[in-house]
Amino acid sequence: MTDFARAEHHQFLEASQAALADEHLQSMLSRLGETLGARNRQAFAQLPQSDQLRWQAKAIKDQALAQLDQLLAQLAQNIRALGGHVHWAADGQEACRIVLSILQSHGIDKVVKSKSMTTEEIHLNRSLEQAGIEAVETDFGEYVIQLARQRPSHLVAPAIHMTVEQIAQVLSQESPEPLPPEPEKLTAFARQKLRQYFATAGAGITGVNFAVAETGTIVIISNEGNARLTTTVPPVHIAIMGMEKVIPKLEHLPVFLKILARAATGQKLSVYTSLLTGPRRAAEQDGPQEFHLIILDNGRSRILASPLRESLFCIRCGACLNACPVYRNIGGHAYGGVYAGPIGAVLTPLYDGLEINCHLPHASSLCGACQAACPVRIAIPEMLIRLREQLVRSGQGASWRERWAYGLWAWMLRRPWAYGWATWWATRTLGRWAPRWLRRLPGKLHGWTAHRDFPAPAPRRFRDWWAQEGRHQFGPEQS
Amino acid sequence: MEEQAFLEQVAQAVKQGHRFRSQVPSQPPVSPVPAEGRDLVEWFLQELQQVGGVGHRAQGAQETRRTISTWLHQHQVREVLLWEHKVLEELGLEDHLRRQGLKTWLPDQLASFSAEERKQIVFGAQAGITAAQWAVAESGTVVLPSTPSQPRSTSLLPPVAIAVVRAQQVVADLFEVFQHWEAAPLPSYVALVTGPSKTGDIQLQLTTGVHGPGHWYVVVWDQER
Ligand code: SF4
Repeated sequence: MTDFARAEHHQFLEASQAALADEHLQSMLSRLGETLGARNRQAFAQLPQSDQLRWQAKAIKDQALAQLDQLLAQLAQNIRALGGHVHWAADGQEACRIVLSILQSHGIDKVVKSKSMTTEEIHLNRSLEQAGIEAVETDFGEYVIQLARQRPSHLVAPAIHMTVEQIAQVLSQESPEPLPPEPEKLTAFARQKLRQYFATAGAGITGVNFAVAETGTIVIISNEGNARLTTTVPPVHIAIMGMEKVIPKLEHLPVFLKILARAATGQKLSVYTSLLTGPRRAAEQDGPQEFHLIILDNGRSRILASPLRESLFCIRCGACLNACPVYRNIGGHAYGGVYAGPIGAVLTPLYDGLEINCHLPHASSLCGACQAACPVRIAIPEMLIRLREQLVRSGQGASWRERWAYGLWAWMLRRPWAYGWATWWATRTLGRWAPRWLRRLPGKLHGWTAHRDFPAPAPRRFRDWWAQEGRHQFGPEQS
Repeated sequence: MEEQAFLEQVAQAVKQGHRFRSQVPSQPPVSPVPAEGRDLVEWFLQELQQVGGVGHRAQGAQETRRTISTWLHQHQVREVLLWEHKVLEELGLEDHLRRQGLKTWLPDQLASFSAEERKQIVFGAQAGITAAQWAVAESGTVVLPSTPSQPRSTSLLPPVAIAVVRAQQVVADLFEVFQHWEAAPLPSYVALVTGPSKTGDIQLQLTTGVHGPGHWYVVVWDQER
């Protein structure tokens, strides 16, 4: 059987069953709503003009994508003027190749990384490992995940699926004696252990939260400080960014800073926001001597040209995951790809293919909680419906039975006599003989009743009731 | 990929994506959160406490110095990194700390060492003292730009970090900080620091002091009354 926590997969149904049966996972996920979810709502409730701020953020993203080619050119020009290097990667493989060639040209065999979903997306760690380069994740949660050889299960809390006992067990591999399941001891251990890597690594690799075109600044946000260490101590800094991360002006940045942390954790600002403008300058004693920015497409231009363009507004805050009743039951590994939750259900089919991920657009009740929580107001439910529509049109995802049933339904709805006849027939049969709730539907339909009962038709049609009684009671007054 | 080809592909996508642009109702620009007559320093100190930092409003240079040495004393600090900064010079902080028997390191002194030796010293220091360009009351944030005399490590590597802010440098909202920057080019590095280093990675409980300083102090240097 696939280990869903370790391998990417396309077995959504099996993986969600496994997740539902996992008690540890369920106890961790059950905390999400009242912690991160509640803190997000509270933080926005307390911020004056927060609605306006979110609309403004959305407008800036929309505008930025409408001039993306110019902004990227401007960003690149500014970074080069500051003495940095800019690289362009069409896909993940090319991005990994660029990283390797930079490292190899310096003879670097040890790097530190700070948490970045983009490097997960391009599977950078695997490429580095294959090339014999030691890459250590330094975000606490990512470090644990890396040692356990698992995949992150949440955008901002990658180890949310683990209990403190499990974390202690994983970290104990690296320690001469077993570590107790006490958070302070565990973080102290990681701090001291990872300091050695920071001090000796040849390069630091990070993602990018925002890039400001007009100043050539990249912005990296973290709570732990590992992103700062990664960009302060090693002599080379390589930043990898999805091309949609660029915003036009410095004055736009506070709009996003104010909403990102609030949405992610309910903090007003994350502990550390770093603005990096080029490599270290003359006479500076720390910071990277060499700075490389890799700008990644990897399917983004295809999305930019499509009706799902708005998914590129995502600032990876994780709020939609915390809000989603489906995510809160099955966790991140069930989604199979790098990105989980509602936004993952949009992104994974886009990056990885719709047909093999045909269950993901359906992994939603379309309740709208994700859109309500999203700081940039991405219309996630609408995009999920679009993907479902594409699945139906492609003929995939629906069996001939289903198509036949819906075809019949559509045919009937267009013909009042047929509809009238069918409802008459249903009330005279099931409506009169069957109990009010059907426990088990026959044949292929039983999936419907596996977890809930199906309401039987009423014994009398509405139209008959209306003709006989309703119109006398509720109809327009006759005069 | 070549820059030209990459950007051409993007330009193409931008054009095709035009008809899928989002509907965003036009909004008046958001204004900074107003101070509404609140005392900015008090407001800042409250927010700082909320995020797990320790703050103090000191009246006059003497109290500012005393506050700093009390904090250092509490953590039994022996070696401390200092920024070369006009506010710290006006305080006469270096002399003050030396007289108390502390070993102080200024960027100037460190410059004479090799990179390796410097790393030893910087990684080994128990505290770092910086001076903020601004403090933001609304979020309890301190703004620390870097220059050759203001290294990035000072507020990052030691387990105890202290920032000095002049009272008149406290602003209400983050937007104001960015308005100040529009005129001048940015330094190579700016850190916005909001409280001690923390992680929520263990069962969503906050644990402090993972990579950055677990003890975060800010002294607001106010006028003598
Ligand atoms: S879709 Fe919205 S809520 Fe979800 S991670 Fe992205 S920005 Fe956050």
